[in-house]
Amino acid sequence: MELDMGEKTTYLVMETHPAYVVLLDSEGRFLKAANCGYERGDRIDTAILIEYPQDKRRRRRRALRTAVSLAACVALAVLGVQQYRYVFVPYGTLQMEINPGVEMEISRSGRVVGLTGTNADGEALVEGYDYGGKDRYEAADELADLAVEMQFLEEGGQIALTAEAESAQWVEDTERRMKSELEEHLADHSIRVVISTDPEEKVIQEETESVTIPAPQQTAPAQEDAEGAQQAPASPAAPSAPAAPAAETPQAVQPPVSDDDGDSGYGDDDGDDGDDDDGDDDGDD
Amino acid sequence: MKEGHEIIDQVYAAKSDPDAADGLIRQYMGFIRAETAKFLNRPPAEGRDEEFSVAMLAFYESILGYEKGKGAFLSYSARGIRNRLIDHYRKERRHAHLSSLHEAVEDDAETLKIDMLEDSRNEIQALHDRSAVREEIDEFERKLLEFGISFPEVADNCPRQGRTLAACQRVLAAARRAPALLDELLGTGKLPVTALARASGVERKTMERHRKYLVAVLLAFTNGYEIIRGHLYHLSSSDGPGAADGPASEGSRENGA
Repeated sequence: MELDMGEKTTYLVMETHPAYVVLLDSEGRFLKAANCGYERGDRIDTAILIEYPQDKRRRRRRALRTAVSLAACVALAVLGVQQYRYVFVPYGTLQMEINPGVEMEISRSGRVVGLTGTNADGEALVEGYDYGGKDRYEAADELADLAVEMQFLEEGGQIALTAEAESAQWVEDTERRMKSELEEHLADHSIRVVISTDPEEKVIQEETESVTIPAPQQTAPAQEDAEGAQQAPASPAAPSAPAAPAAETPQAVQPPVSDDDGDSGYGDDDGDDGDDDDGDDDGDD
Repeated sequence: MKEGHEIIDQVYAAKSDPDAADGLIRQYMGFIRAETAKFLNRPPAEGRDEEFSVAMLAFYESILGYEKGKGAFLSYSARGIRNRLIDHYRKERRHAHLSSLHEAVEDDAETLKIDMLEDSRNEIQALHDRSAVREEIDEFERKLLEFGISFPEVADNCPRQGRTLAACQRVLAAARRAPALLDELLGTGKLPVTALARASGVERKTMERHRKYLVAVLLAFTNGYEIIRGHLYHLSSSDGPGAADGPASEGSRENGA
């Protein structure tokens, strides 16, 4: 009674019932399988094995556990990437012009993730300064202290702050809070400096959205000239209007529209006249 | 309503009693045939259509899996039969490119391909062998019944996880290395769990859980069951020193046979 000694499992039919047979496989398992016309003592190579309900339930539970684990892994990965972006990826920049120029790269969470000097003094200021893991306000305070220590910043000096990011709200918040933070910090050290944000860009951006450029006129009657002069008294189009009043009211400056050919009826669009006190002060420094 | 209760009682009885299960299956053979016919779109040919055997197995699985909260038994089993037949159809589709030996040689011919094959076997020898196998299985069944165990119970008690099966095989190997343990099993009619646990290193709890299966396998390696033992060549070859034809096994075989 020799058996095939190959690797394939063979089954010996031990008992038959109408719906199933009991098999003994060559690995020592007793199994129930479909009775496809077998008789006791038959040897078969393939069998349609029974699926016990408890095995089905166990398989279902295992599949569910695997699915839940996978979903948790995916959720963790997504959260991890988001957290990484929130903490470590630069979201915006803040330039501090003390005279040494310094540019901070800031993540969405407010951490400083990069710091460079934008000029020679700026490089000297940030050299050796460890900004790793520091909050933007803490880093700004320490840089201001360092500037005082290195005599770049003195009583009555000035710091210009310019934030840049895709979100206008973030820019506005960062500039406003940084300004008040630095003012408070330096006041604690009994140093009074003028801290300014850069309103020029914002004013221009805001007004760009609302300004309406009138169509250029071929002939300019005297009446219209008079009206135009009333609407835009600071316009350089009016030869009699001096530059000084324009500097006092920068809101009145009408910026050039990029699509325009420059012949907008407002004369030249250099924007210099709209420069407020920042420009002058910077020149002084 | 009364009929509904009756069938539920029958199903619950059939869960643990193989004879009751056979009776219930015979009683609902028409229902099983009808469900198979619905799937095949033709009446199944008994003995020819594997689907009918699968449907009967599915009905038996429904008996084992049914609980009162799962609605009417017949609709539950109809769903089970249909799902099982769909699974079977999907598995069989993988072999769709193979031709069957049970196909007719030509269209409309009654002769099957299998009938045309030359049979090289010695029919008389095969008949003699089958008869010997049956006799040995009958003897094995009688011996098992002395322990109060039937084949379906052994099958239900057989470990289905590879790790547990390996543990049971370690118990068998330990018993074959110490034939006194097999003698103790035959003499007392009880599985020597403590001694086997000590000899094999398998936990008592695992052995208790699969006691019926272990009794059956150990009995197969006691005495006289040469054909069954020959069938279990995987176990015989992997047990090392105490192999099936080793002196210890031989001795115990001679004792009991």
